[in-house]
Amino acid sequence: MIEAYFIHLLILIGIYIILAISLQLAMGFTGLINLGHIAFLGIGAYTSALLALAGWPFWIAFLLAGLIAAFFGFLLSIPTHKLKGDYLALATMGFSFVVYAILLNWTELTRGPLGIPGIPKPSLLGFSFSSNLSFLILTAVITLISYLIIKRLVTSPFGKVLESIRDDELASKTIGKNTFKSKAIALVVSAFFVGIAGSLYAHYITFIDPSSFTIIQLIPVLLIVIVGGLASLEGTIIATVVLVSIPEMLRFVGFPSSVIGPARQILYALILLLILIFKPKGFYGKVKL
Amino acid sequence: MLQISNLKKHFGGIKAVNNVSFEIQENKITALIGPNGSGKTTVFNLISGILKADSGRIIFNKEEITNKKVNEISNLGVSRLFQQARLFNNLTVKENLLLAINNEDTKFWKNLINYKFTDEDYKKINKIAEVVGIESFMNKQAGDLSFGQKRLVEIARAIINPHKLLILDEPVAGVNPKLRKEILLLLKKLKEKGEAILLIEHDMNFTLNIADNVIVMDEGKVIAEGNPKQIKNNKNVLEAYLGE
Ligand SMILES: Nc1ncnc2c1ncn2[C@@H]1O[C@H](COP(=O)(O)OP(=O)(O)O)[C@@H](O)[C@H]1O
Ligand SMILES: [Mg+2]
Repeated sequence: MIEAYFIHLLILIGIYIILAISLQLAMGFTGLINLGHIAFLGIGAYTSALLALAGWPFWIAFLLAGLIAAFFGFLLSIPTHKLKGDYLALATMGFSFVVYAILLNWTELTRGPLGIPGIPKPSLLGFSFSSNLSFLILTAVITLISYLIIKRLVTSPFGKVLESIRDDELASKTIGKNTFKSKAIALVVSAFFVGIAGSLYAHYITFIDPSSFTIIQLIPVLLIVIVGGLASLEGTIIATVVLVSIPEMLRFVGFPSSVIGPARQILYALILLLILIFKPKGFYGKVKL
Repeated sequence: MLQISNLKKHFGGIKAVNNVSFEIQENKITALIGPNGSGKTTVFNLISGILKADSGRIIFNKEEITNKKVNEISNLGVSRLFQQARLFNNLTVKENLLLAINNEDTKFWKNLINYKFTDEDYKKINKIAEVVGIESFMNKQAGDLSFGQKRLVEIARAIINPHKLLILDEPVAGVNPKLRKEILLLLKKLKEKGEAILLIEHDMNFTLNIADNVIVMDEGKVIAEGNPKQIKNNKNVLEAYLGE
């Protein structure tokens, strides 16, 4: 019983790690406060779920979830490329509202608020990841690959270009960088990984509806990024493990489920407040908020 | 190498740059001087593409660069130093300099697969770091440097950025007298190496000491042009400065 629960928790942690490190790529490294991040999760989840239900093999649905989310990342980068800070946050928040509204109202495709039930568990080369343990292994492998790719990118000279844009975009242009292109790449790669995280989520829970992809769902991810520290991938991973687990501890201490939901939100708000007051760079970050 | 003709830029009612024309030559230090608010920085912003001109043309090495993008103008060979500090504060001095070396670092696939700076790249930045005198704090974070140190790192970055023309907006403003002298010597050294430099400077003495050619602006217009000696004795210039 406890073991099954533990496996469930680890799967959630894996999915959250992908969400958080890809937000780090856009926000921590490139300085793009992207509140549309959660919309890519929805786009990935719906793409993968609908394709799988239409009979496509899992791995194609999974990759297309990433690619289509990446394509929307590219689309988002065009109208927002001159926006910074609060304005960018507002515009990208608008993007997540639009995607949410589409998921809710394009009922022929998404079934709207009824959601999509019965999403099949993934299978690869005849092997079905129907047990939670096998799903955990799949999630762990994909999380690890995502981490390695993002890590490689941010530690390469290209990563420094992204950081230069975060610190001073005009100065970056002045030394010849095409910052529009670099920011678009950051958003596209970030969206790709969120898209595949969305696919994992859909095939794990086997039911999705638009309410899982609202801006409210982004708050824990933002909190993780801030607690871990901007531009720190390792800090982000530690923060994910801690912040996804803490509220679950309450369950073991004996709190009923009806208390855990609100308690989690209060806890997160409290942590955010304390971090902003006492540790504005997060625990492992070197970059000021 | 740089020709500016009938350049205009107005901000609402302010004629910041009002029909400015001048030319600068290769292998020379040209100084753009004038009282505060006379439009010098605005001319720089027009040359480097940060502002769009209302009218007029800017030709660089026979190519029209008026209203091209900032990064395009930089890549054509105009390297700029800003009046205010614009370093990448969360990166080290070394990283700040390496960024300026070339644009291979913006190639996504190349970087994802395997791209590293070469020994030659490191040699190049170390050499310039030595010339400018910043080699002792190459691994410090740029945001932690003193004002003078930041200035030097920015000058080094502008020199490393591949260019045919350096445009420097008040390189010694706010800098202590000792460092001021060092920067003066550095600029002279660069000129001997064949660099073309366009320089904004408020301090008349500094300018007249270093420039081959001086352009004087006042209220958005060029009011005088000539060698330092001619400028020193120009009545319009004295009036503009005394009337300040
Ligand atoms: N972006 C801007 N918007 C509005 N006014 C500006 C802007 N930039 C400069 N100005 C105005 O244009 C005039 C010239 O400024 P500037 O070029 O900075 O002068 P200088 O560098 O010679 O001191 C000043 O009156 C200044 O207030
Ligand atoms: Mg100025």
